[in-house]
Amino acid sequence: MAVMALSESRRRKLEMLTRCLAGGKVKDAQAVIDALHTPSRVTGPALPVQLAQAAPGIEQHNAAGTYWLIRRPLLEVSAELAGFPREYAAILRGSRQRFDELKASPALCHIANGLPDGPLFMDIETCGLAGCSIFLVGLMSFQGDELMFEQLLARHYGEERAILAEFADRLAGSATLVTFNGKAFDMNSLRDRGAFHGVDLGFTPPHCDLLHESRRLWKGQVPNCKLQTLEQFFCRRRRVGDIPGRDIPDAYHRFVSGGDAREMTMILHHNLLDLLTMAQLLCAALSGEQPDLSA
Amino acid sequence: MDARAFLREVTTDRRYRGQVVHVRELPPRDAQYAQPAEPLPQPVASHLQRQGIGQLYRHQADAVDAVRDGKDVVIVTGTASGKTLCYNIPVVSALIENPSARALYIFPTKALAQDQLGHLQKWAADDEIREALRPAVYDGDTPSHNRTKIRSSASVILTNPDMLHVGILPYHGKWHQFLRNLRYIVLDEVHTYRGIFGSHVANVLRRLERLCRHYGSNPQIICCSATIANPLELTGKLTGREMTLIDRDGAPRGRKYFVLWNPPYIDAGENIARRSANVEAVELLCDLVQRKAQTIVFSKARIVAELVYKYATDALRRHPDLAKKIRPYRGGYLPAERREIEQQLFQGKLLAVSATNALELGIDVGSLDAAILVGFPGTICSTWQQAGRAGRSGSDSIVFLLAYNDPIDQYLMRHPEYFFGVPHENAVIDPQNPFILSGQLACACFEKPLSQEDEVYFGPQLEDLAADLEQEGQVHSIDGKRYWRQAEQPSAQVDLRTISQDTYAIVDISQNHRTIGQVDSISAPELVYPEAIYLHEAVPYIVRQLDTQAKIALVEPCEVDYYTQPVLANQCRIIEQRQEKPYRDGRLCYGDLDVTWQTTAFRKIRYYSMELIGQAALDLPAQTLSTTGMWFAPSEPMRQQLGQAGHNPVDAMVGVRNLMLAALPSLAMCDRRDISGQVDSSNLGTPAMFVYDRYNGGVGFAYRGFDLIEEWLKLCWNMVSECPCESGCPSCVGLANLRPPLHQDPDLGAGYPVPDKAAATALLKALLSD
Ligand SMILES: [Zn+2]
Repeated sequence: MAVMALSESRRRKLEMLTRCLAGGKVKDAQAVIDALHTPSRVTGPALPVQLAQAAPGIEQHNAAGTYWLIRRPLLEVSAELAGFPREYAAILRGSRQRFDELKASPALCHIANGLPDGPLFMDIETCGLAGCSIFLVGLMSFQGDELMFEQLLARHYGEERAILAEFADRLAGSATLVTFNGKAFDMNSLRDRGAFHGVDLGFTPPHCDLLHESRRLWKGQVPNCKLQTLEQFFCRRRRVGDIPGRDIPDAYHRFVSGGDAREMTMILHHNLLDLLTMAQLLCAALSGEQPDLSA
Repeated sequence: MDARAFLREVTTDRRYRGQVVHVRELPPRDAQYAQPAEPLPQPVASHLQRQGIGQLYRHQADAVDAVRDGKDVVIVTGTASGKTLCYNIPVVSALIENPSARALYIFPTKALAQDQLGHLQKWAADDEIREALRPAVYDGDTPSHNRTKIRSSASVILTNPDMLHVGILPYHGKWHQFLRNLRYIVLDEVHTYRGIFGSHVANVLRRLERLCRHYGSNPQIICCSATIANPLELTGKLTGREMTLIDRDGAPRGRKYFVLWNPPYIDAGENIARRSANVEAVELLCDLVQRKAQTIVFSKARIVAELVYKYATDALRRHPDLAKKIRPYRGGYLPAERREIEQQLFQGKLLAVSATNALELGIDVGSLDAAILVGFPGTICSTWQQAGRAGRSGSDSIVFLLAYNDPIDQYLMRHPEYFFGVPHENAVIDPQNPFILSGQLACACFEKPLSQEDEVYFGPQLEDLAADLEQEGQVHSIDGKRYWRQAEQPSAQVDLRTISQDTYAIVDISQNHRTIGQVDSISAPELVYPEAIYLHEAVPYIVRQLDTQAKIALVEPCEVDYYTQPVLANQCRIIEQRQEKPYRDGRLCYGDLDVTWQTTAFRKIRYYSMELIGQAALDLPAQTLSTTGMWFAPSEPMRQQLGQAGHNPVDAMVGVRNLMLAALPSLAMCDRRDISGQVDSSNLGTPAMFVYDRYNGGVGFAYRGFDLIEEWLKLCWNMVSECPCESGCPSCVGLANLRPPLHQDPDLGAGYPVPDKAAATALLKALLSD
């Protein structure tokens, strides 16, 4: 039988409460608890100074509150991939002609027919499994001649609403949405949390879910269609020292409680790599590329 | 049926041996009808017309009016009095008037939700209602690919508290449309929400209400209950609202005869052994069936339901047309099989069912002619609920309560006036129990940050308990709000029930590993141990393997002339003493206990003769309940004093323990089934009384007793000294709260003797005098 494990200290307190309550003495119960500990309360957001060093950004304000925006072009992230934005733009512009060759979904066709600055790449990070709050909405889009990452970070739980409202604005201004498993996960989570906060995400533009595209295009050629597997075969990259997805919620909770931004930079980097891989997979899909099995 | 004629025939039969010890005639009552204050919407009125319902009973009209006035109501009327209409009429009316309105129906079991789905589908078959009424069950069995559609399109959702707790509330974002438009919450069979389970459910309902407010709705609550002593108090605490009681039962009732039936002695002159109550039940059942009286037999153990069925069909082998109109019904049958039996009974295709209390709750099987209760069901509420299955309007019905050769049953046979006079039990809950509330607050915090305003829902301990969650690192506070700060979802770790919902599958290896039945994981080692005979619709299967990892029992059909009974061993071990204080000349202690039980062997019992034809040891792992409890060992001088006064000290302690178990619920606000106790001398070397919580980790009941020992013992003293009985009865020293033997034939044991009242009184006196 699954029952929440009681720590020794909690059991003691609950027993004391039981005792005080037996006489209806709620006031006394409070005194007992107070005597046992003085609650350490963190007020306000957790140490933006440290975060500002580890992940430079700007505090943004909107009608729904404040949040932390980290805005970086790809060039700043990876010098090796300095040429990729040009390649990306060329593939998106060129894909129109080879339209029939693509075993494409309607959303993929929509992208092929659009401009390089049409797609909005999106990937979220959450505080746990389904039903949990969202703390990071990672976005990427083609701006000018550059792929630009914009990560909307809730520095604590109270900023979730602001990042959702900001995302709703960005989504409304985008021609297409590109995600990896976003149909089943990211958009559902965003809508559910949006409903809770009274943030309406409006209509989703044509949504290209690269998980579905990958399965359609490459199933059987690659061991599986997980993002990091595809990354090996198409981007010829392996992640070193990456924070595993399952460790992310706890790392974020630790960041909020203690303000240790080092772990936060790892999460931000993980999210950024996911977005970058999505762009590369999109290019592979549009250009009919096959997995590099020597990778 | 002509019940009087039946009784006359039975008592003048040459086999009759004076079993009838008492007959109580419950007078008939005419229907009392009433009009609702305002006419019902036309589609509702015509649906009722088509169902042959020309007028509403008085309680139904009362309920419709009260709900229309915006009141939160609790309806308490007899079995089969048409309680379902009390909520279906207002709900369907509201849905017709406002197509975006939603209703949530909560039933304690999945089976009840399925049964009510059937009713609603009948309503929805009407063209004028179909659009507005789109009912769907949403529980753990709902396939995940249907869930999204149900959330978005169903207008009435039928579920259970466990699913609400673990599968709906934590995902409220997905339910925002439903919650925003929620107009009615219907809670049926609320009398089952008592004790630990009820205290949890009360908090689950607070969480639901908090989220409704968040999304902008304020639903009305409609409760239905079987008869209990305190429906207003129970539902008030359960919902946190002021409830309006609807209890002017207007349903008609035929005359009912309630017969106390005691099997005769079979050892001429010695008067110790009685004939088997199971066999007596079979004879009565066959007599009734041969007179075409539709009959339900209620047995206390699943094995007895199977045996009664087997014996009855054996006895009726010359009447195969009758024999095939009897079926057994019990927990552990697959849902589809249960539905089929319910429907066959309802449609009159079956003449009789041999059931367990699985059929006690409100599944609609229609009204029957006769009910046979094999053994006292344990509570007055259950007894009357089972008895309520018999009773047609405009015709007589008959109920037999058959006694086992067990002290409690025999006491009732000797004292019919006690049986008919004793009030229904109180249903007690304590939503403020810190142990329960603490876990529930974690769940609430996950769903929406906690703030001071939430005291409205969770009471004055909110701040203390939330501060404690923070200390433990489970929540984090920012600007006066506390946020859940763990990746794990708390509701998966908070069990609403004392009995685990885990089940074992019983798989027939001769039929491609088809699952033929289920059993809950707690009692699997008592039912499907290796070499056990598992009876399913009286077909014997032998258990080849019990896989405790995969939770599967592998069985195959066999031909044997015996059934099997587990031999159980119980033990209570002190793990750690946490507190102690001097009490009189002894020490009163509180601490951690491990309560274990284990199937150590089994016996082969020949059908009919109940002859023991074999026995074998078993090597099965023990099951453990790690809980908290209190214990007290009377001092040596105290025991000597008792002995000198001619009392057996251990008997005295058993009596006092029983009294303590009976008194603790009113002190600790729990249900009798939430606590248990033992008298044991293996722990301390001297006999000691143990009382503990029947919930993993403990919930503070025994602790409250430990803390308030003086008050507790005084309550015991009052109970025993005010009890008018001579030498002990089920109301004082007699009725211990022992785990019901779900898989043991009560016929094979002698039960527990009623301890000596004088001995218990003497011990209590010693414990209370300075
Ligand atoms: Zn008594």
